[in-house]
Amino acid sequence: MTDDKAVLQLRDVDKTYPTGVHALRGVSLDVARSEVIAIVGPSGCGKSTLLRCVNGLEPIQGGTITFDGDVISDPKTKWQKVRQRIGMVFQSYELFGHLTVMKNLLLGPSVVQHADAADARTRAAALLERVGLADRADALPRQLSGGQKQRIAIVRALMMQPEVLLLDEITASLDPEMVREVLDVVLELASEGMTMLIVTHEMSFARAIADRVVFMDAGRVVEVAEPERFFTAPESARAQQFLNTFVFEAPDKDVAAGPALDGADVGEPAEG
Amino acid sequence: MPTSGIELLFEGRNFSRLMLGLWVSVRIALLSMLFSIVLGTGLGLVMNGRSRVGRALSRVYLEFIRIMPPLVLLFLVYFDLTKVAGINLSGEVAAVVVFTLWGTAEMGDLVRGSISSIPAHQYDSARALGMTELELQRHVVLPQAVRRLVPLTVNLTTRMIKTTSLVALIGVVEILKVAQQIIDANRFEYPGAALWIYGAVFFIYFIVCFVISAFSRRLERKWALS
Amino acid sequence: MDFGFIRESIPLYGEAALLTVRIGAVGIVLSLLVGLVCAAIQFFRIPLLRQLVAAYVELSRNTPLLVQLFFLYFGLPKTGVVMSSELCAIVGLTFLGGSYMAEAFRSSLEAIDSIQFQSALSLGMTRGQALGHVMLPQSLALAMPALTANVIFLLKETSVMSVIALPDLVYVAKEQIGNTYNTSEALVLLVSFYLLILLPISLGARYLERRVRYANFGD
Repeated sequence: MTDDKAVLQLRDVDKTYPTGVHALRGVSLDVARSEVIAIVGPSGCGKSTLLRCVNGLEPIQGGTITFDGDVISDPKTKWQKVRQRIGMVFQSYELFGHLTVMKNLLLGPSVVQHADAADARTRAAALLERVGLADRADALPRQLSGGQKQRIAIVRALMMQPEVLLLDEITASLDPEMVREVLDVVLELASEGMTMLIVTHEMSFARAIADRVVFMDAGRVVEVAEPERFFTAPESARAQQFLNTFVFEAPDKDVAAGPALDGADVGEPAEG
Repeated sequence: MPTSGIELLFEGRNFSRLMLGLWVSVRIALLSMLFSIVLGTGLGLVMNGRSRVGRALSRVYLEFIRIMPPLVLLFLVYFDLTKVAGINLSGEVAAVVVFTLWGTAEMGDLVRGSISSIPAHQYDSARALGMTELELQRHVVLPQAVRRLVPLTVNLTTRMIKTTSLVALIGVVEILKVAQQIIDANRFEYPGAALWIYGAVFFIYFIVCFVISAFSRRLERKWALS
Repeated sequence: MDFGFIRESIPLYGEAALLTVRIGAVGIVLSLLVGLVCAAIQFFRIPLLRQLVAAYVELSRNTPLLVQLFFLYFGLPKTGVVMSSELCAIVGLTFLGGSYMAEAFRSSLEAIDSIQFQSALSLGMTRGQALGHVMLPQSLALAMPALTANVIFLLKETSVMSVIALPDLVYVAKEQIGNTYNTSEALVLLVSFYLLILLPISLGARYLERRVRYANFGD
């Protein structure tokens, strides 16, 4: 089923790490422009590997990946060009510790795109304003909270003006009260029509933002469905089992008398 | 091709003479290491000790030894002691004295580092188990410090062997001097000998030091504390 | 102690000290360059070159500078490669120092998470740009203690250069001891001039290290 509107096409993608781990086993997926796809699944199911392959950080051993009509999975791929159009944000932020926020944002445009400095600075200021961090332009990464760092990391990817954004568990390292501020930025991007592949453990977020949910297990795509359908009535037994791990059942009514387990109560206090 | 010089290496007793020359500097290195380990352990304990005066004095000693090129220290002992104190030291004895002074400083710093690199919570958790101070030292500090220290000491031995090559400059007949003698004695028959003989000395040093450093690296990997 | 003799000798030692500093400075700068190139080759795991660098590092680190100099100055001319004392001193010091600097750069680069490198790549940087703009600047803070220790080590190592007829401090002191028997005076001058060179550098290195440590790069 070839989708002509697909901006990104994965066909039978196969990935084995040098360690022998078979991370992806024949993964196929079409992503349309402006589509938001949430990829969920248990740890080690291959969902992060999938994003890394799309960004060329891992070579694949079989199948093809096509971006905007060009095959990007062969050794001759000019990744420097492709990566400017497919941005990526990592779980651990990966801001450059020796540079201020503003310089983090300007490094890509100046080094890679040789962009006009004043123009890039204007764009950076506007993006910082949008994520509510205009006053932190001169801060060093170590002076920021996790949520602030991750918002900056998203802005840094946006500075390259990408067509597709890959988000790899971007809230997994955050304290619970900071998750929201990051996800709000992503929700806004979605509403503006950004094409996104989002690997996440935040099921309610996946449900709220995704056009389609991809459930992966053991290197395979097990189920692709609309979010409502996936979260209320998953087809596969593996997906049902997976979703059940997110349901907490009190073993004893007496013990369960305490406050409900929502995010804010579980979180530990933020570290300085 | 009699003029190349490589065969000179194996002519007569030349090779065994070179090896004997090597033994002269290795012997100095090993003796100095032996003294340095004993004295350096003491110095390291003083550097970690309670006495402020002891810590300050050992610090000054370490800094002075560290900042001077070993060759200058060697000159100080070899030339000055002879003249000022009237003690006539042979080059070899002067060398052992100097490299013991040098090695003690380096070893002391390694001992200090190995002990102080044990994290504070190791002490806390040992005390939490109800250990006495002596038991703590014996069962927690010592075994971990030794595991850090042994590879570093082996590594110091290669540095010592490299440094003792300096004795050639105070007239001790070691491998370089023997090499020079062999080259000089065969200047006319083998004009190209210097390339091969000095090349051989280079590789002999390399093999000795490489084997010891490789051993030290293996120990380090094997004993790495997770 | 003959202070008149000491006073008269100061210019002689001053000149020799300048030579030591000059040879040392050139050798150290070249060592840094060699070290950087070697570390980059190892970082990118360039086949063949990488094995060559590994062999060079082992050869250089497991032999004394004195023996390296004998080979370069007395051995190598037999193949037609003749160097002046000064050039030979610089080549020897660079051969020794390059491997020490390479190790300092390599281990500090290894200490930085490779995902930093990948995040630079994901912005579209080439591998060279990612190394130069992201990895190296951050590793420099970590490498600083090892780099300054190497600088002091290399300056001290220059003390053997008299064996290749370079008129450095040791050379001058040795001449005076042999010719005038003013042994103590010559040794006092020798020690003083080495302190004059090494003490400010050692203190400066410590200051730099402390600053870098408190600057506390990264997160």
